[in-house]
Amino acid sequence: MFLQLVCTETVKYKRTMIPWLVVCGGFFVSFVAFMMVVSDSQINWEVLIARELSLANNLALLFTAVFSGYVFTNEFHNHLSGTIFTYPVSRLKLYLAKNLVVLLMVVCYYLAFLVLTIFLGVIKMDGLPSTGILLKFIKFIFILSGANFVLVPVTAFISNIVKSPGTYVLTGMSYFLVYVSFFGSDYSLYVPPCIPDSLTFNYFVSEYMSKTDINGMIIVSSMTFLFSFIIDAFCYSRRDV
Amino acid sequence: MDYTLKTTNLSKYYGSKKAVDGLNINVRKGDIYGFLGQNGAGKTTTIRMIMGLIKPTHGEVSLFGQRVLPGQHSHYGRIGSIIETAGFYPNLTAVENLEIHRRLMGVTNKDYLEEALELTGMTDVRNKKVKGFSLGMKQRLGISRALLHKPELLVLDEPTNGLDPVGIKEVRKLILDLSMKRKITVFISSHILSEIQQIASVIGIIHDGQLLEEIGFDELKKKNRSYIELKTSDDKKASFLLEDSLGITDYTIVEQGLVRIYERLNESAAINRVLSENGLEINGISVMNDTLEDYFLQLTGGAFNVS
Repeated sequence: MFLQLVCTETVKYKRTMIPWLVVCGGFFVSFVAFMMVVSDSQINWEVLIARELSLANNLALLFTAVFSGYVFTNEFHNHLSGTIFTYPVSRLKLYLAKNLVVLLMVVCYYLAFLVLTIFLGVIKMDGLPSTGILLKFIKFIFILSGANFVLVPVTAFISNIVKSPGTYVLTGMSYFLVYVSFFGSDYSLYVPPCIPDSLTFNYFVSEYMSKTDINGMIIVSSMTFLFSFIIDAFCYSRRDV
Repeated sequence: MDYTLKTTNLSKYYGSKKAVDGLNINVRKGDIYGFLGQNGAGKTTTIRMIMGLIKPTHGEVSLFGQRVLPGQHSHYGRIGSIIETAGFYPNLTAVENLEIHRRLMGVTNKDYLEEALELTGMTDVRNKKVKGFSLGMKQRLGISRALLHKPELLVLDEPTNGLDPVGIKEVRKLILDLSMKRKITVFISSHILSEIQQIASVIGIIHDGQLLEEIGFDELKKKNRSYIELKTSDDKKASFLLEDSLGITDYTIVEQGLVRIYERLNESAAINRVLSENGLEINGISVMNDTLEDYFLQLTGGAFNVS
């Protein structure tokens, strides 16, 4: 039943800008990042992936905010908020389904990015990456999707309050500003918008994080997610429409 | 009594403003309940509370004989509704929109979808995107959606908004058919008296958030009174003569120069003669019937759309 709810929620975005944004966004980022490293003759697979991922992570902040803002305010803009809450489905389940759909979108964005990155990498490197690197890349895509997903309830909360389409774009830009302001500082490991890029650097360039750093990062991410998720889920399921 | 929908002291306050105040609505199984009120009277707020979209400040709603508790949503599968403008996913076709509704309502029989489209004459446009639909088409599709899962109760908030006269007539016929053939209970709101008058079996009149009257249509007809309408230039003298010379006490001065007499209706000629003989200038006298419109206008203090 819940799976059917998630499928129904996904179907709603058929013929919208969202599927295009997911796939083309991933491709576009991969292509632009590749053009920035194409002239570097000394590059290897790991560095190529790390550099490409860096841009992908930055834009993922914006894309994830747009995805979540769109998913959570779509019904409001189409005068459907009075309809979706009159189904025999709990609001909490609806909320969870919407979150899962956003997660799916983020994963697809990174997967589209992964496909083109490998394709372009094969052209540049004259061969496929080793199985180890490939698996690491694939596994990391899911970690990054999770790291970006941490901010979804925050964006959803803001979007549900303000409801204007521009809000989620501005929210995404604010995340990027936070990233620019904190990345490289001592606190960057504990600032959610910086976490995807910090992880990328650690796993593909230099393993500079200690176990304590990683634990701290996990705790901060989990707390951010849980706290915002609980508040937003409560507001979503209790609000008057 | 077998009530499909019942509200007890239902109230909604926004700060100090009372949007809905102590509503006691009783909708019996099989009724077509016309919920009549001018714009801003509190109709949509009431419907939103019934459908669990907003929380009442006080009071409670009972559906199908059971009190609705916060967060309880199982009974919504037995209700079809249109609340204000029917909204849809504009990127999807009519049939895709209904398919989403079918899934969320937990309806397994896909034939219901075609049936619902057919009922409102939307079969031809089933594969067209909703973003190209007129307001009237959206309302029809909204009705299809409300009927798709074969509900026991239909809650319709101004369902004929945006429809042309032919569409309005069709919706009216559809509601009457559904009530008669499927025994669906209908709760329909409107600010247009004539619309409600033609279909409702019970009427609830809401004004400034308060239910002024809840009355069966047959009973309402009985309430309509006949009277002698007298047009004169001197109300005071007419009043004096009616009481003193004719012994008539059941009369009202409606406005300056207009008197309504509710007794001795078959003696209008005699009344006319007595008043004239006593020097009262009479500009007109006739026996009249109170219309439903008059009744509602009287109840709501004249604020009603009777078109």
